[in-house]
Formats: sequence, C-alpha cells, structure tokens
Amino acid sequence: MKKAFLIGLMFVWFVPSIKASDNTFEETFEGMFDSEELFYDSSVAMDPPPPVPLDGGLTALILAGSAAGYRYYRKKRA
Amino acid sequence: MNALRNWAALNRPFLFFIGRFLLTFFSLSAIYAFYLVYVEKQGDLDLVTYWISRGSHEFARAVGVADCEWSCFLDGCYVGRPGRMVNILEGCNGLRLAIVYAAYIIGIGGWNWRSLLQMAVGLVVVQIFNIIRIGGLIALRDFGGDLYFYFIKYVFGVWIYGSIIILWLLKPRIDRWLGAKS
Repeated sequence: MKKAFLIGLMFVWFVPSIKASDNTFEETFEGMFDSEELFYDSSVAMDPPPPVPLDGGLTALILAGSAAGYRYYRKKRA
Repeated sequence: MNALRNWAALNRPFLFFIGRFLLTFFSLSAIYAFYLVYVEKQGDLDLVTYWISRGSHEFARAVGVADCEWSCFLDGCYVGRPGRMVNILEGCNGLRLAIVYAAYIIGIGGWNWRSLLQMAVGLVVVQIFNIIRIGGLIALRDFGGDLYFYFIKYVFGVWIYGSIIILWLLKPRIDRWLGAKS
C-alpha cells in the first residue's frame, strides 16, 4: 500500500514536471530563427585609417617628362 | 602643314624620345597590370605594396613611433599605432611613378647598359623616397595635429615628384660619370 502510494505520488509529481520541461524547451528556442534588423550607429563606428594616395599626378608627371625631354634635346641641338 | 613638317624634321630626336618614352611606359605598366591581376587571382597582396609598407613601418619605428604595428590584408596594409594608422593601398606604393621615371630614362638613353643601370638604381631611389614619405606620414599622424594634413596634401607630393624630376635633370651628369660621350 505504502509502495503504491509512493509510486502514485511520484507519478503525480513527475507528469507535470515533464510538461513544464516541454514548455521550457519551447520558450528557450522560441523566436530563435526570427530575423531582426541590426542596429548600426555610424556615429559610434571608428573612422577607417586614411589612405596615403600618390598617383593622382601621373599624367602631370608624364607631361613634365616630355617637357624635360624637349629641354634636353633643345640643349643638345644648340 | 609645312611648318609642322619642318618642326618634325628639326625635332626628330625629340619625337623618337616621345615614342620610346610612351612605349616603355605603356609596356612596363602592362607588365605591372598583369602582375596585379595574377596576384589578385592567387588571393595575395602585391609584393611592392608589402615591402613599401614594411619599409615605412621600419622607418616610422626608427624616427620614434613607439608600438608601431603593421598588418597586411588583400587590399593593402595598415601601419601605425592602433587608432592612428595609415592605410597603404596599391596606389600608394609609388611603382607607377617609378615606371614613369624609368620610361624617361629609356626614352632619353635607349636600351643600353647605362640606361638599365640608372633605371634599376632610380627605381630603388624613388622607392626609398616613398618609404620616407609614408614613414613620415605615419610619424606625423602619431604626433597628431593638422601638420599631417598639410604634409600629405602639399609637402610630400612635392617631395616625391620633385625627387623624380631632380633625378631626370641629373641624368646627363650621371651619364658623364658613367663614361658616356656627350
């Protein structure tokens, strides 16, 4: 009798606990795959390091080279 | 039309120079462009940018930039102290300027050993000037203030272009040192 009472008590306690853990599982993973729009505050982000460009004056340098060449040959001709 | 023909006849050596100058410039630029495509396909950074950034890093450390860091990625290198770095891209490595320098040397002197020697030494000299330029910029950025922007906009532009023009103007003298007949 005592044994049957204990088994009954365990059953009464255990079944709701299974249900409760089912809920916990669902609650834990609820919305796991829902996508949320990421918040990005550009004012907080760090500025990228500045580049150190150089080749903007390539055409000017080619023209300067042509002028230097003209000067060289004119001197040579004189 | 006659005046143009007379001018061309009178300046035939200059016109040959322009031809050699431009042909060498476009040939060397094409070789460099092929190299850049090759390294991009390999998923690598070009070696010129790599060595220039490394040299700039060493120069910046030598002039007193403590904790100077250097890291390279596919698109370029970051050099300097964290938060005050400069970005060295392919366009900053100065090789295109060195190609213009070399094209002039070949344009004037033709393909001979004197020109090739001057071209090789000149390429190294121009790159040393560029390393000093970028290393100086790293040091100025570390130092802070508006001096960095003044130097990047004016002083170092004149520095690197001026170094090439001075080397061009020194060419006849260097030729004489190398024993060329004037």
